[in-house]
Amino acid sequence: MSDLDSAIPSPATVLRGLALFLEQDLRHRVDDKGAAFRARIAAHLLSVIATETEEGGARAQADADAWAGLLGEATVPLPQAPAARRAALAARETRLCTAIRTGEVDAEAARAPVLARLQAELAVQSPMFDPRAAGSDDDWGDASPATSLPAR
Amino acid sequence: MNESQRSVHDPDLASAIEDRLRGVLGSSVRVRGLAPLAGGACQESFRLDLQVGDELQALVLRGDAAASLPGSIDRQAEYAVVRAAVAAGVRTPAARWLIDDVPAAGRAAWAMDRVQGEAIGRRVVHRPEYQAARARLPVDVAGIVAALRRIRPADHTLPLDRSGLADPAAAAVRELRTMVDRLPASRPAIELGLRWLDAHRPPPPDLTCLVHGDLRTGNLMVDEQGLVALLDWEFAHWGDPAEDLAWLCVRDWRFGRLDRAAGGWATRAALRAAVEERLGSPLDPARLRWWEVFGNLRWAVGSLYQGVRFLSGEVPDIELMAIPLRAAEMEHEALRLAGLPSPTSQPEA
Repeated sequence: MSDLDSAIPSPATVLRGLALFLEQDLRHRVDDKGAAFRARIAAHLLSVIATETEEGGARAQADADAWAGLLGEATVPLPQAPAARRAALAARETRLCTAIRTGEVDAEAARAPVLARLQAELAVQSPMFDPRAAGSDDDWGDASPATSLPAR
Repeated sequence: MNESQRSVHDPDLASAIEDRLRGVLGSSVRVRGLAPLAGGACQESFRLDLQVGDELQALVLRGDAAASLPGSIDRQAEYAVVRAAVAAGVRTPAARWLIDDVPAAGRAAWAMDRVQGEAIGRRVVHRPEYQAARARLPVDVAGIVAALRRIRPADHTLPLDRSGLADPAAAAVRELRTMVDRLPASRPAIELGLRWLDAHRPPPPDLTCLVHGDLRTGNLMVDEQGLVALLDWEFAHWGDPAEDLAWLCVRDWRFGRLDRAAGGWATRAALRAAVEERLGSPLDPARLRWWEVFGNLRWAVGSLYQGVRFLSGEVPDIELMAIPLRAAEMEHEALRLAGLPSPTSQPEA
């Protein structure tokens, strides 16, 4: 976690430091269980934002490029400034959502790229989430012989 | 009940309750204890100790909140639903009476018997003292499902929307789309999920009945012997009973027991077997899979809604702020389930 190119902690380091403070210090000094629980949530959110801060706009650009591919649009660099970058990605994402809904973009073709971008998002937002089927996750099973008959 | 619990935190509210109740229960009504319980988005709950003549009643009072969530019913409708559920044999606390203008003018509140038990999901799933209860839950839930199936729209005039009865799955997708359109923005995975749901809709079910609408770990109160009560009827509606069974299996409320898809306490196969045994008839796995995809997507949209509530300033709770950041989890699960090979080759809707 050290970034020794400066004596001044980077934004990501500050955020991780705050997360540690909440998780390991403040949380244990709070009597109210609800407040202690919220302190854990806050610590987690700070870690997530620290990761986002470090990766800069790379994930957003990868999202934008994936959506451009599905829409048949050219890939374009997103703006650098965070707010403008967010807005530009949101605009492209909205176009994709509309195109999926109208059928202009084929749902089957979109499945793999959308899943891939979801997994990239999960790696940052929910690092503990296992995207595979959970453990020995079972299924509902097969249809019983009686339900193979045509629906009424 | 000890004296320290008999405190009235809001004397004005207590007076209003007594005032309204005199019309229902007669003159000898006194509020002996009134304390707020943790509320939800649509309702405010209170622990209420009521003296009626010589009798002391231990109750929970549920009142309309200022706001409501899409898809939720008001307390007046909920009261009617719970009375019908109890009459049909669903294990849920009995509804006693409904009053107007409590907790505020224009709102309504109803009281239920207060029951003892544990409903907190993490505890129900993990605590060793509930091991036997967990083992019984498939059978207990089968009992709930059987009772709900007895509550049919043809036999009841419950104040519930009937417009979706002819095709509950189509109505559900329509409502979900409407909810998505109220968000600031949709998301590609949600749109893909909606397309899949449309393309794979099961035909209308043989039986439509009362659907609890939020049947999950978190709303199942247990004690060491088993299920004490099913709670929280604010999402009740007419529909396909498969919806309730599938909602139990939504990934987000297994409380760490991901290998036990049904609520963190049983496999899908075990739940299905218990329900089929109780009903004496087979369930349709393709239909259950469809409603499970629906359920994960519905919760993804619901989680984005919680974020909107936070952003609007309505509720300054960072838990609400954190929930939408996990929408990708529910979206992923919906698309993962949708991509699995179907249980049998069933004719498409």
